[in-house]
Amino acid sequence: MEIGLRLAVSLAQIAAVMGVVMLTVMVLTLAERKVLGWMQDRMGPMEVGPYGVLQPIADGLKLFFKEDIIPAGANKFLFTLAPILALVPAMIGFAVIPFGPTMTIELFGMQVKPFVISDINIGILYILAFASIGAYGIILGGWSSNSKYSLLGGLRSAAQVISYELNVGLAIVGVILLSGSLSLVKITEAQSGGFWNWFIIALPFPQIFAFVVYVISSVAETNRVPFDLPEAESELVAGFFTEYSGMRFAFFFIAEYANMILVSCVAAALFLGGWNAPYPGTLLGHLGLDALAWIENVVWFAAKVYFFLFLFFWLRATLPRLRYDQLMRFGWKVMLPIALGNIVLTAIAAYFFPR
Amino acid sequence: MNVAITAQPKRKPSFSDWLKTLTFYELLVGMKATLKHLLNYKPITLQYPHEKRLLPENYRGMLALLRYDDGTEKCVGCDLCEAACPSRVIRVVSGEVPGEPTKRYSKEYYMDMTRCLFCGLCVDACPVDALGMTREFEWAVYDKRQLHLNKQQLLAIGDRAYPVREKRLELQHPNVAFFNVTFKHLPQKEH
Repeated sequence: MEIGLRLAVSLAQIAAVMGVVMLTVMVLTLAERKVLGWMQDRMGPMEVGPYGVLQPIADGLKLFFKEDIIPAGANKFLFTLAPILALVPAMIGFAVIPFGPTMTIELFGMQVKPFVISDINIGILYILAFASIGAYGIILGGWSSNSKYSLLGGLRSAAQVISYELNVGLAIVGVILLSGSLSLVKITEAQSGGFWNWFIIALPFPQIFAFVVYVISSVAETNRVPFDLPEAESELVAGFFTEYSGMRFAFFFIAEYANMILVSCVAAALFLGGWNAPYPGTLLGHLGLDALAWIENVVWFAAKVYFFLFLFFWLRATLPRLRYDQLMRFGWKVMLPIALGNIVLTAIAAYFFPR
Repeated sequence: MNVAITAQPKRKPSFSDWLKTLTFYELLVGMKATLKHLLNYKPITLQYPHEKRLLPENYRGMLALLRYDDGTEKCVGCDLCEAACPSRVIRVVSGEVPGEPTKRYSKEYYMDMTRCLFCGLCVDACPVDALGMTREFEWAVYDKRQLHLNKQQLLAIGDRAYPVREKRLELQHPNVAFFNVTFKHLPQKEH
């Protein structure tokens, strides 16, 4: 009975988070086209609904009713498995993201943390591990399609994700050294009390270089412009999902956007203070409305995440695609030494000036 | 991020170059440009089916066969348009007007508009101004056989595009009216 109730509460939390994420993905598909259009003096989608706001629904319906094609010569099992392997890790990472303040509420005689599904003590490691599994979906999708474009896209993706996962991991180490925990909840709590405590500028050693490395590497990790070599339209048709159609294609598409949201959430939680407001406490808390303070915190978290998502679109509207050797050289010869140097300096600073 | 330009001799990067590389100066310049366009949002898009472009005065659209104001066809079946056409769009089957052995007309007249490139050479070539270019351009069809037009269709296009018709040739230009023999009210040519 107790376990069943706990399971039900957890499932409700998971459903709520998944719903929010899927809704954000829907908003993002429209927002990306709109923002890109506006930056390029176009209008973006305008036909479905007023100002094209119903375009994601039309896209979803179209993809849902499209014919599901498995190309001749494709490995059917892996071809079916690949989109799931891409989507599930992208979704599963949200389990450890704290969306709001750390608090426990009493529900049916149980302690429930409403703003984080599961506060495990290796949260950030868990996200990194599943992000690497997501690369398998891309590689297997490219390999099993029996198409040279897909294979090239998949291989490029493999090399790129391995190179840049490393930088993401090393950029995060500085933050972990300062906060002394791998749990995203604890890392976020360590940054409370004003923007000067956020790890991007916090003493003893500001993580600004780690932040830049993390942002660039996460753009590369999610295969977005200017690092979109795995799906370079002008070279590889559509890269690893050239042969995919219908819902399978939609899975890859949702996975890409969910990954964008995930890395934005992690960036907000690690470097920009997560749900903490840039001033001590919350305005609603100072006004004596402590019961409603969580709304302000969640809004701050959403604002930070949406800032990063806007940055993704902004970069896409601005930058051309890198050449493959430039990508590799930049990852290994520029980003990696910066991240390593940051770890050394942060370790020295954290040793002499413990927080 | 600095791209080395091979044509120039390599010079030692100055301090400001280092600073620019470190602060992603070039990227920020580009991002400023895109942000500026986002903030002063002035789209140049024309929402085509809802709002349409103003066509230029000399727009060359769908071809049409024309008539005189009394309803007779202008075409005299001379095949000059067929000869002028660079894409072999036009096919004319010429014939005598029944009962009038000195007059000719086009018995059949076909245009394969899938090949037409709207150069207007046939219109220039026509000695009697029987061909005209209308301002129609929305000719998307589901079956491209529908673009293989016959004489009736071409005349119908001309009828709806040119509601004001010219007078018969012999009533306007005596000098170019030699295709018609019925200008008895005009002085005969001297031999």
